[in-house]
Amino acid sequence: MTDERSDHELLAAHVAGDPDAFGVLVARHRDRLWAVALRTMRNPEEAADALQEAYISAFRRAHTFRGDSQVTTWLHRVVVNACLDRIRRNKVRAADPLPEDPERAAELGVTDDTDVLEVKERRADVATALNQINADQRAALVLVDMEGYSVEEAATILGCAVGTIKSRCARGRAKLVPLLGHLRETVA
Amino acid sequence: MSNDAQHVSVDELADAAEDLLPPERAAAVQNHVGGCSSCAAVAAALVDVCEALADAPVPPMPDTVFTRLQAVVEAESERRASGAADNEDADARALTAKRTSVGSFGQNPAYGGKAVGDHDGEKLSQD
Repeated sequence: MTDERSDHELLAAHVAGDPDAFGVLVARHRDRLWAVALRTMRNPEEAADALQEAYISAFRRAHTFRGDSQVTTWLHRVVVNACLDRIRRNKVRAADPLPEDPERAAELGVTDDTDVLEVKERRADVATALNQINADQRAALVLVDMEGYSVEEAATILGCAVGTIKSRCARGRAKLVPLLGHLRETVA
Repeated sequence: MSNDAQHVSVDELADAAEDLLPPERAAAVQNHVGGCSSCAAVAAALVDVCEALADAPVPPMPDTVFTRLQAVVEAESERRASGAADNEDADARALTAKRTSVGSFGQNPAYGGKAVGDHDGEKLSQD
């Protein structure tokens, strides 16, 4: 699975007709793309469906990529947009926080590789808390606080102003305080 | 500290942390937080939230999802490749489609395949 070509080279090769380059590219970034989709959609099945739409969109629209940003930034943008489109389409359904479904999660292989109970609990807490804030704030927090993107990069990915990202992050964090406020006491 | 009216809301504390407040208000907030343990605790909780988000383990993509997405990409790749091939065959396919729509030969054996030359109609014409 190791391919020495850079992300830019792989995307260029894909546009030029290489049948395998796109597959190598998305396989290379599978976990990051999955993390963004899962955290934005909150539900593994929805995340997989959104990623499928995103991959098809990226595959067909690769020629629109302008080489002035990272390929991963562009891929994240396509994935986040697919997620947000999906959330808007499913708005009625998504308005109710999706219930955790441990059996389905197990089937999808979401159950983890670590058995440290504390990490599990923390993951569940963060996921549950993220379920309770709106999709735009969640998308901003996923990129900035969870994925480590700068607010400028997040603004590019989400297609909005830097100030908007800052504001969405701030208000999203404010909403998370009462939901995650107990972490310090229990963990420390 | 007994004067609750002067406490800063969590929204405003979060905005302050992102430099979103006008300068005078930012200074007032900073001043208040410096002397108010309860607001300082909320500000610390905001930092905790960032850390909790950053520390949340990255979930690996399940292999079932990976396999499914790989199949999607392969199908796209084949579709693209066959699309290019189909263009070369466009005239033949147009004829096939026309025959199919007319229905002269019932179910078209060439449907979806490339065996346009093996079509019954072609054989008949060669006789």
